[in-house]
Amino acid sequence: MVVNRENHSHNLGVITAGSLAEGLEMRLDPAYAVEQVRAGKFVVVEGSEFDFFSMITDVCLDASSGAILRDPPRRSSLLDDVLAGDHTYATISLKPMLMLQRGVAGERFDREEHLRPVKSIPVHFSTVREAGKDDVNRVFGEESVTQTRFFNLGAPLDMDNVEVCLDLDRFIERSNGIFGKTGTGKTFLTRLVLAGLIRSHKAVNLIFDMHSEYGWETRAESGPGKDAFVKGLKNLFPGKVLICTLDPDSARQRNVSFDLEVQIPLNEIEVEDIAPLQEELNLHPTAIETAYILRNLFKKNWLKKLLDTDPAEMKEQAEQWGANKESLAALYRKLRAVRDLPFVVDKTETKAEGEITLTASIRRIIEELRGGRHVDLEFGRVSGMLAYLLVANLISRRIHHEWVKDAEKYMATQKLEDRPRPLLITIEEAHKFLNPAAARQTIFGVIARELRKYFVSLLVVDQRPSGIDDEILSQLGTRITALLNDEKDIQAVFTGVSGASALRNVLATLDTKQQALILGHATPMPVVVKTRTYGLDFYRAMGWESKEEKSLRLGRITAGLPE
Amino acid sequence: MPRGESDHFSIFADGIIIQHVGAVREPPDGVYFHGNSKKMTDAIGEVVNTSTTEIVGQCRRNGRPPAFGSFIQVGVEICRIGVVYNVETTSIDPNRRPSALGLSEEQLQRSYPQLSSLLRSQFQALLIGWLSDNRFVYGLPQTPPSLHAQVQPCRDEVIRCISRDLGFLRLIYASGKSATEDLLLGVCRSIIEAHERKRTEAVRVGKAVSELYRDDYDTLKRFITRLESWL
Repeated sequence: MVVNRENHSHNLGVITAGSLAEGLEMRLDPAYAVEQVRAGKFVVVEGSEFDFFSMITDVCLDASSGAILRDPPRRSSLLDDVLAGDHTYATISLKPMLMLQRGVAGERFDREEHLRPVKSIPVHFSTVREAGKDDVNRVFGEESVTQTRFFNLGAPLDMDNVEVCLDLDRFIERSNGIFGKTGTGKTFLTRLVLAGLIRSHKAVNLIFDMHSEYGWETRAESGPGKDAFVKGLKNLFPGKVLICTLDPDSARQRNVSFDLEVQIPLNEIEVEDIAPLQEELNLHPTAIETAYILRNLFKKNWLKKLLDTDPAEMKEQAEQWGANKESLAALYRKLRAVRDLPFVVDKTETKAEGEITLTASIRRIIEELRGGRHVDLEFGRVSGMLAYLLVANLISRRIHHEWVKDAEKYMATQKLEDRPRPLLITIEEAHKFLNPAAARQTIFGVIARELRKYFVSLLVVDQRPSGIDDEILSQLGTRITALLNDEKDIQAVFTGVSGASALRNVLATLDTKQQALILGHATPMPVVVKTRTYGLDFYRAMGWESKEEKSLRLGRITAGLPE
Repeated sequence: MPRGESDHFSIFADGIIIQHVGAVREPPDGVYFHGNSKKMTDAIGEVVNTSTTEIVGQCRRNGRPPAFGSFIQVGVEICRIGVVYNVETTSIDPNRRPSALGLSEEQLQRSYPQLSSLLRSQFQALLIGWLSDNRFVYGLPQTPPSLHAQVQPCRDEVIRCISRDLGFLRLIYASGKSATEDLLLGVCRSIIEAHERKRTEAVRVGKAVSELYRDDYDTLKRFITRLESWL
């Protein structure tokens, strides 16, 4: 069946049953083959007074009588054709997500006012049709009209050339999550969203880039351009993105430049920076107490003092410092791993290009962020979990501290120019920071809970959402989820989402590539999208131009011609 | 035997074969001619008994009786439509019952050439609706067709018009006539034959019949399988 999927819609069937709690049941029109109906599809139920924007959540085969099933007709026989649609039919489960007064269109339509949560269900035998381009635009907004607010993330299922947009204003209001099992395109999704944010100027981003894959070109792992290199954020927005690195050698070997090298002197590591590493370092709670004892004694130099201690003298030192000997020895053994990290230096070093202290690096990062530039911190080859946890937590704590101060200043002056820029911190392997034990100790737990009170929120990227603390999951505003198979992970993604059971099927049946379910604060209703292709068209949409194009444009300007 | 050269004959319930001497010759497998009504737009009989539910028509002498399950039309101003549900040939004189003669067809024709004059063919048709402004309305007519009115077979275009809405099948289904299933089958065949896209029409007609046998899947299955075997 050829259906024009852009503006003209085809009737899919009629509503035969339903409830507000369980969703609606639709009898599929006999003219429609059941195999054309896919979970996650966006449809519109035309009630008598309201249009109900809904999503297909389940497809089920049914028959009018058990006798037919006991003695089924031969495939493609006349009996088979006769029974099809009337006696043997498909029922489709729909989840209504939004309702809109019928007849409200054009300039009278206001998304905020007219799109309402579903509080009723359509009348019996309301017709159901495929959503058209207009419907999608009404619900999700249009990128082309208000370019900075809406960001096109992809197309709904079976509707190419139609845009599903993320409302970036709402996106930055809360912490958000991008989930999906390995190889489902989490990184691409994240890069897509980050690019949208950078282009929109809605927020500044701090990206803890564990595998150095957001800043510069990386290799595509699959898809049409498999093994081709795709552009990173620095390529697309050279003036707006600052690349920091913990591993300058890696950057040099990859032949990419960086703007700032970050080193961490031992004397700048605080006990609060070590506490979240408990699980990773297998630290006993008493070890943390011991660390506090040392901090009280030696202030900033506690870690250096500990690591400089001769293991043979540990017993005497413990007695002298009033600490438990075993605890002190354990703390010493475990924290040696921190000193071994290549970016951890004993003391502030002075290099040719200037002093590289942590304070100085962080000051620079904060200045750049305040100035509206985005910071990508590459880990290079130091991509172990220990390094990532330590650095992400350490830097975020200090930056968060500054933002809190800025926010308080803004509250005091109430001047618009003092309003801090919203900051979005991207962390990968988030379950390591936000598991129930760590979430209470890392700064990320605090950020996720505080919401945007202090203009800082998180973009959590993870393949194992079930590892994240429920309390934090429930605070996530928008969730962009690629395929997940594990029952626990699926359940975790829907923590704090009402009516999640219907969406579970949808999530479990996503394609492994280029498909994602978006739900939450930044979209008016959950929707499955075929994500935008990260290629030349996207680069151009982000304002990128090739060298030839640029020189041509500059040439025209010089010649006094319009660009 | 070459087509058209055989004699027309009837099989009575008691097994006696009576030949219609002088009747229109048709092949034996088409005992009652089923089909291309374009060739026979003329009247096939005359109403000899009439009511608002059904009529009895007597075939013209030497005329061919209509097929079981075929559509007929009666009247000019109000054209009533019926379906033939019974055809029979009997002796003209009710006091003289035919008896077995034990002869071959050729012998019979040679020995009793007068036989056709002594027999008559009658058909009974259930009224299912009428044509009004080239539109078919199904249901029982308010007045019966006139006695002695001419009965004509429906042309294909009329059948296509009638079968646009297959609601009348329920009238036939509920008529309580014997062998309703076969009557419905005959009617369905007539409808399908009048259409060019036979398979599509068979599915449509089958769906309408499936509504009648909604609670009796076994009968429906048998019905559709028989219809398919004929396609």
